Amino acid sequence: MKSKLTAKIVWCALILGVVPLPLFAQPQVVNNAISDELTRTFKILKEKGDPPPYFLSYRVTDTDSTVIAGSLGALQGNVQNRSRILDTDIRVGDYDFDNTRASQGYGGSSIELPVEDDPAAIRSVIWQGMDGLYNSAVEQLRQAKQTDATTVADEFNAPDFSREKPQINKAEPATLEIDRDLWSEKIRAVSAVFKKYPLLYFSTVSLTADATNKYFVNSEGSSVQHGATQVRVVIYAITKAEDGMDLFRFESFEAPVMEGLPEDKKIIEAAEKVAKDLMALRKAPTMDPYAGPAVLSGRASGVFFHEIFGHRIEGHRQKSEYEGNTFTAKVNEHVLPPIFSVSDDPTLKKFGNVDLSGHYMYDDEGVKAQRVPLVNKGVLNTFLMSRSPVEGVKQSNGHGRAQPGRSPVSRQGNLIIQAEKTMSKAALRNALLAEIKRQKKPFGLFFDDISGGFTNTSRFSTQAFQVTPVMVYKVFANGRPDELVRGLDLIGTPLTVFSKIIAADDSPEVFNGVCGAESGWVPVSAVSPGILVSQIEVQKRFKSKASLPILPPPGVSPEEWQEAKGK
Amino acid sequence: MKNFVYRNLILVILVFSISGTLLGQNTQDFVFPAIEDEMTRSLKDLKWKSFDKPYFLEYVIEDVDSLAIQATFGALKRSTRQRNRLLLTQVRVGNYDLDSGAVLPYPLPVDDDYESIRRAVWFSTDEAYKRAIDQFESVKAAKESIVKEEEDEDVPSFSKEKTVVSIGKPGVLEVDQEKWEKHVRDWSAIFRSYPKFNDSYVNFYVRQSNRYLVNSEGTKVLKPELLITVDIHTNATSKDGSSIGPYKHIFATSFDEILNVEAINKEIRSLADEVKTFEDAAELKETYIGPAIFTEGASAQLFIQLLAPELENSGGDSPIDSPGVGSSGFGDRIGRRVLPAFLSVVDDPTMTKFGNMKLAGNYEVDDEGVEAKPLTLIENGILRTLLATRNPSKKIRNSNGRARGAGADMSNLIVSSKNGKTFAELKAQMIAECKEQGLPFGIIFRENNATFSSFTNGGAVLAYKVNVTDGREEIFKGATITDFAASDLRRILGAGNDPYAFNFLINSSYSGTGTPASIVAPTVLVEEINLRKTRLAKEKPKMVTHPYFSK
Repeated sequence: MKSKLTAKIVWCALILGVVPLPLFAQPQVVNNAISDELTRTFKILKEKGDPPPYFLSYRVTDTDSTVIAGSLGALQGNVQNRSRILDTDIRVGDYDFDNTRASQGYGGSSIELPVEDDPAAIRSVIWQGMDGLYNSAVEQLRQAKQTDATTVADEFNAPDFSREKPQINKAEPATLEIDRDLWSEKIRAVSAVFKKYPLLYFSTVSLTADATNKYFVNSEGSSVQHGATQVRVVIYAITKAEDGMDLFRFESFEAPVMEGLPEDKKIIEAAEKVAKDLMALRKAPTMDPYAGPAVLSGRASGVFFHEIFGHRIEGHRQKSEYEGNTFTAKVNEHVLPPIFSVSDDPTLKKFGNVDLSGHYMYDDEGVKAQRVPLVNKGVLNTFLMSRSPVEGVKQSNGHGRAQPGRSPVSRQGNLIIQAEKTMSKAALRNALLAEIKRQKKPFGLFFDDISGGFTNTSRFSTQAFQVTPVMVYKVFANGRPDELVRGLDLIGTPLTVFSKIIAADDSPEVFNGVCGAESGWVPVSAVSPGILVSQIEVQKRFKSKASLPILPPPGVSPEEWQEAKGK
Repeated sequence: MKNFVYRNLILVILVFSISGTLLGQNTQDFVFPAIEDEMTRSLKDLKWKSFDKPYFLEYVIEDVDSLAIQATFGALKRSTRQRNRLLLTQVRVGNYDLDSGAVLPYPLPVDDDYESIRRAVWFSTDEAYKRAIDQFESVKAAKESIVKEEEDEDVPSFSKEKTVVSIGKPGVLEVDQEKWEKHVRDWSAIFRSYPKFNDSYVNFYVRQSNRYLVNSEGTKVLKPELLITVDIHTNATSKDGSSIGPYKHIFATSFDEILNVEAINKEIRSLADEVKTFEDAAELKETYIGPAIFTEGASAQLFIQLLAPELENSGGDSPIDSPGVGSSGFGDRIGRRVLPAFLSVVDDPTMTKFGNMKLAGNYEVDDEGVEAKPLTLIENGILRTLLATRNPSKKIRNSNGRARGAGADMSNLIVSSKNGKTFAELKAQMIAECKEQGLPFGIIFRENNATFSSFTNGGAVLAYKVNVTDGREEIFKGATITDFAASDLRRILGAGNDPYAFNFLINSSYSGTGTPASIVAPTVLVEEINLRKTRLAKEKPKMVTHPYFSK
């Protein structure tokens, strides 16, 4: 069960010009169509099914997505895509024991619905798969019962599905207006920045803009319709060091609406920063494996907590014997240093003036999103819950999430790490210097920016995490200036590393990204202060042996090429 | 396994007109110079350490503008106009006799930008060159380590060919998206009148491709290609619970033979009749071993499925190639009998029509920039040569311009018979055979409908029993031809005087793809087939009734 938080690069190569379909003319058409079909189907199956289903839900995710991408001043693609995905959850048995017992969050079925608001066509497509889904649910239940009867009792005993109050919500459909010509021009202009850097052999700048409308109905009476928009500009470039190591760097801007994106000047500055960082990284020395003290910037520690902590308090992992269950038996015990409190709050739209990607109002099981106080002064309170209960936590707290096509499991939204005793950034740096001296180390590390990370929570492999830094500096106790290094990954195991966190700064930062796990990719945020860790471990990163291109790029003379390479 | 798509319709009625004007800048103005300028620089300067320079470079740019529309039950599922450009860079190091090559796909910007194309050519050439060098070292090492056997000959790696310059006029796609959306929506809505279909959808796809090819030998080609496809897919449950999925695949290669909306309506309605025919057909009760007649669509399929794949020369004869890799079935049979003496086969890409029917396999220059001419493959039953690309084999050292899509493929394959018989004569001949063998009936295959997609792949064949006493025909279902191979074609007892022409798409794995080809073949009587009863999968009736039809 690997999970990954990364700022995913959406680079859609060379697709141009789509005439958009009429948008969301009548949101209630979809809602009524799926609601009518659900009522009809559930009634028939209740009467004729043996065993009858006890629960049925339809979840429709309607996405209108635009991608405009460019490279070196030319447009690579400009495409608009519209899709409507239906996910069906049919359950036989009862809330305590049903057909989903064995699937443990895996599975799910999805089909593509018409994107036009035609109830007859929508209902006809929903209907096509229904008998098959019901039949396989019955077969799953039979197998689950057989397994239950022929194997030893589970380590954990919890019902399969929680009882929740029906939710009703109607909202204006989310729409996005994008001036595609204007943005095509902007993308061309920003991507042209990289023309000045012949060594950056590949670069791309893209705008992705999604308007997502979700429709959810279930046989318990829920009918939830809500929508959201999300736009993102990503700047991405790659180069190689002389030893063949591939180096990449990206910067991104996220906002809920187009107006939330920064002005052109700032985007161009970010592109320049990407280019300059990469040119510096090419020349930076590599580093040998090392263990010692380090400071993680707010963004870096956000990813760090997301991996080592966040994934381990996801509810469904507490009821599986395949999972590591790091914190399952730790409710009301200290799991983090006492200065830390942690919550997950999807209802939060912004932190400071930064928009949070992990914001939502209803989860993918139609349950209202809630702020969940996970850790209070180091003591674990509860878990992130979907409708799959665990021992001691019977209800969902609105964290059942999934990408279209997957069954929801409990996932993070906006993970907020708060520290009680904090110090300024400068003081944290001084504390690092003191720690380096105390440990008699030649240097410590400062993790400034990272691209993502991953962790393993299952029992089949080591309970470990890895964070992939991009900008890391050696910090010397003797006053030598910081030195940029490349080619290392931050690694560790959760319980050990928690005990090594000794201080936090007073300037929390936001990492917006997407997180991948068994229920697919979902947008998330992590907010954390910078932290000082008395001991971290870094390992060498894989390195390609291929060289830079033999000939300089067209238009660059051999002399200029040699000069750029710094030889 | 290859996929074939049938063309059941040729409909020649103008639905809308296309103006032939070109838009803005002429793409040739920067595409060819960008490739040629960078190719020239690479040929001159590209050299890695002590390794050889490339001896052959080839660049293909596929510039594609397409429209894809899908609808089901009266509503659109998607409608997408897409433009994309892909560069395919090929670098070969060594020489024609022994080399190693690498082909790299590289996405290109859609903006008309000389600099971007040239940069892509630069980067992909470098990457492909390094890969080619790497492989070439292994190839040379393998050649040195191999123990040469007496029968081993040195087969060259790559054939030398005449340069070709053929610059066509780039095609521009002008298509009324809204209008086609309406047609596709309306076609898909026809199924609202037919409760027996559980599932149905219509895919409409137009693809205007302009293919640029430049190689370091001086060949330069611009080939515009237009492909329009309409695919109708269905699924129905027949009265006895068995599932059937009749479909129609229709295509055209020019807007002169634009698909007639009304005729497609009719085709869609005819799918309901196909279900009925299937429902009414009796199931085959016993295994049948005996003679069979293949006529019209069935004869076309017989030659497409059994003969055509054997006619492809796929090289791979060098001692350093793994044994058997890529060598085609007929590779060792040149000069030997593969068909009865009264049958001959010609592949003729220069043919544009057969009778009044336009042939789809017509072209001048193949995918490797080699000119294609008519080719006698089988003469009076004797195999003379194979369809070849620039990948040589022991017997065939040069291309004959048949590089199409993935490898060597047919264009217009014409099967002709000497002293062809009438259908009635062939039927009488079959009945006489059956009587002699004590069989109560013979078999006729006619259609190539949904239930007849593959002879060799267990399709539930719909065919006709012919009663030997009175010649009466009776349709049946639920059978598969087993152990059917190209060698069975030598056992053709007679052929008709009734050539049947059929256009189809080779390698059409999904809507809008494939290489247009044509086959012309007469009715044939095969000495023996093995027809086995298949068990039709039967489903329980659905519990949940259809929301539209159950109201």
